Amino acid sequence: MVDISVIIPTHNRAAMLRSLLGKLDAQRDGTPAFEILVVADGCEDDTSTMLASLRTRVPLRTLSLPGVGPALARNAGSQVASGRLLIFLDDDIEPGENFVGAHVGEHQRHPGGVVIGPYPPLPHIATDRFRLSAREWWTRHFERVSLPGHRFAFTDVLTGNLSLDAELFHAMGGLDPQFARAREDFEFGLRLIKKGVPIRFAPDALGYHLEHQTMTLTGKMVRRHQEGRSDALMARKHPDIQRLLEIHRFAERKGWKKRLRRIIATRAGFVLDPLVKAGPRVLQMLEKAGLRRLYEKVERQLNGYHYLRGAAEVLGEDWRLPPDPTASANEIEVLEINLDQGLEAAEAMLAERRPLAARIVNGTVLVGDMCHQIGAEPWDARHLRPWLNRQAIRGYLPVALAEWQALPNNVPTRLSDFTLNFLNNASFRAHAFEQHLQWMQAKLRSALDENTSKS
Amino acid sequence: MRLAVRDIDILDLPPDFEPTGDYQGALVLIRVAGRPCGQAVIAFDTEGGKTPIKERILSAAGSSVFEAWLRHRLALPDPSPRPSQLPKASVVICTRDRTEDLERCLIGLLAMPDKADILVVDNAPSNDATRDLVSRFNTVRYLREPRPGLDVARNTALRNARADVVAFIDDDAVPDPLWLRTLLRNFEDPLVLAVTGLTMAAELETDSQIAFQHFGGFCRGFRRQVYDAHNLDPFTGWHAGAGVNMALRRTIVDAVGWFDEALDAGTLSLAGGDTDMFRRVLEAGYRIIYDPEALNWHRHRRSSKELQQQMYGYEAASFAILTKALVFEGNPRALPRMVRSYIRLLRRVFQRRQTHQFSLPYNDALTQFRGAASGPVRYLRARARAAKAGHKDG
Repeated sequence: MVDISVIIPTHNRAAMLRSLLGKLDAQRDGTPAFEILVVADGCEDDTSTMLASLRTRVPLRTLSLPGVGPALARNAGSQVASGRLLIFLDDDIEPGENFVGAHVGEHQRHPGGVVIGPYPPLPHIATDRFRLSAREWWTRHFERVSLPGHRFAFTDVLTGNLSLDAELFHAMGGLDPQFARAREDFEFGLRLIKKGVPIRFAPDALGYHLEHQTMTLTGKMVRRHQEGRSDALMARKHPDIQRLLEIHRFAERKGWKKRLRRIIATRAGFVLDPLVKAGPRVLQMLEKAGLRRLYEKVERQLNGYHYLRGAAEVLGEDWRLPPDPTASANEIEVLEINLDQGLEAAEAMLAERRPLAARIVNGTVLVGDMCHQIGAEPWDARHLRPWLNRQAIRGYLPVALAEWQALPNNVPTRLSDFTLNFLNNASFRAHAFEQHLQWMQAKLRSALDENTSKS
Repeated sequence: MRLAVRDIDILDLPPDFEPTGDYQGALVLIRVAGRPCGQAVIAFDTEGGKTPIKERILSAAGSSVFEAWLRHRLALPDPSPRPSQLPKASVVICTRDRTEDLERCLIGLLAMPDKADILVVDNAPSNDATRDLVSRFNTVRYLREPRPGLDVARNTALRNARADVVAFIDDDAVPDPLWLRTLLRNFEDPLVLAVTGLTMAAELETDSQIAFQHFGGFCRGFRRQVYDAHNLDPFTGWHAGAGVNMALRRTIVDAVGWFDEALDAGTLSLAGGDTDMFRRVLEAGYRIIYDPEALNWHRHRRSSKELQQQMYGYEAASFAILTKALVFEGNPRALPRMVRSYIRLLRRVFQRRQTHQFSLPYNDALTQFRGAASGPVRYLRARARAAKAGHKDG
């Protein structure tokens, strides 16, 4: 009997799976015993023969399904898994040698939560727009999640590299099979967060995502279709988060453009679908011709079209979403915290009360509002300092400076609006503009005219 | 006009800041707990220094200073990378007949806590002064490259460097003590082929030096940036940095090729070898990191004539690169860029010239347009000449 099960749903990726299993088999010494459970979902390649011929030190079991999608495959895996801890791993991730150990370690330190590990793209050279933007998205996502004091939201829960207790998984009812091919992780994350299950990030549970081998432009379009479908289902199942979904923008009645797009998406498919099929090829041509802006425009339109087609599949012709129950309710309790007791006291208060929303003041000066966000975990002590340093920096900086200069905090700051506006703006243009301003504001007297004759 | 250049730590401000001599103000590099994180331009108080120095610095400092200061005050961890091991590095100085500057640079390099293999490439020298100077430093290697051209010298350096990373510094620049170490800490990501750093003005003694610094100088901001073709258009590769302060992985040669020997100082193209390299790195799908904490100090050209030449050269080089992309690489994006840039420059020529405190003693718009106009021809001729000289592209 082993305590840990690594569940890997797979679909026609025998070679990739083989190297993945090799990495799992070669986990660092001292890794607790675990089993591997491969859920072969509608595999038509030589996955089964590969699995049958593979010899691993780690116990390896296989489950075959007829192609039901990753959500159901994970559920089915969790049913037959013998471990008390389940680690879900995608078949296009190459786990590091401390992968299992890091997941287990994090659960030992803080039992009862959900642990997500990073799977940034395997470093690869990318030259085309699509590859570059995919690489950028994945890299940035895990950078953001790994920042200290990151506030987790349901959109941070990705099932590609995630672990939790089997008991918790079953108590949650597993993944919702409605969302078979997209967003099943977000939906699961939303339920976790609503239930108050803590989400943790284990930077050492690293795997490299082979996204450059598994994601293509055409694949992305198919995925957009699935996402539209899942978002429509999500808006029905969780009306309270519908405003966070893209579909919300199209659901309102107003605006002839939106209405037209909806009509096109629901009715004109038989005309447009064949045209749109050529989309990826058109994009490649545009890229070759160097028409970057047009490329972006066309890509946006194609993505939007596929998304709406997916949504139309669920919604039919009636695009009204169920009413948002929280839209009118304004009764979230706002905790007021005064910083004049010191940061530590404020942190202690956040840790104790864990509010959904808080208002941070210093004496009589408002520093900022820690806003309520549907589908995000409640505020905690570790959020305060990073929040003050980024989101609330414009409000907090004058207060901190006044304190540093031993001035009363009701004295207005000497910082200019420009300085305040440029805070945390990393763009090159912003820098150039700010630097120019610095020189102009210094009011230096030029003696260039006198100098001309000299040189 | 003369400005002092000061280097201060905001947590440990000097009590007095008033000018010595006839300085009218100062360009202040501001550090927080030793890390360079922003600048301030202040005019000296002629009314007897009534405002305390702290307040004057604070009211002139840039936003990045405050971010770093607040981060420090909140005891937040520093976001810069902390690799377990730094790669080995060779430091390269390409020089030509500038022994006085070179000596200062070498002394600065040897004063760094990190010992690196230092290589001086003497590019088509007119005498033996550089060789004699380098022979006085016994740990410094000397190489002579008789064919003129900065990019020729850079290629020679890449061919002869011993370490995996080659850091370039200009002969008229001096490194800050942690310069090399800070550059090297960014190489953990295997996609990073080049790392650049911040270059501040070492002195602002003349109007030309001040004007150059005001136009941007070699300063590319005070925030660390990871660039790839997704967030930086390869044709604006110069945003990522300049050759005065850059480190390259030696495998850059296999990935994107050698420096273009028809570009940069010593050729008809006048400049642009570094920009062209950055452009090719981005276009090939790799990354460049700009780390402003990797600091060195550069002595800008003193005379207004040299500044004019420099502005002319930068425009010529920028159009040389566009010509190269269009004609020799068949990149269709170069053409609209070229047309747009010409229109922009031409429009500036006919605009009323603004006179402000940093206006130049010559028509800068016209200088730039002349440079731009000559760029394509200059490149074609430089390329033909480089081909004749042999050893093209390494």
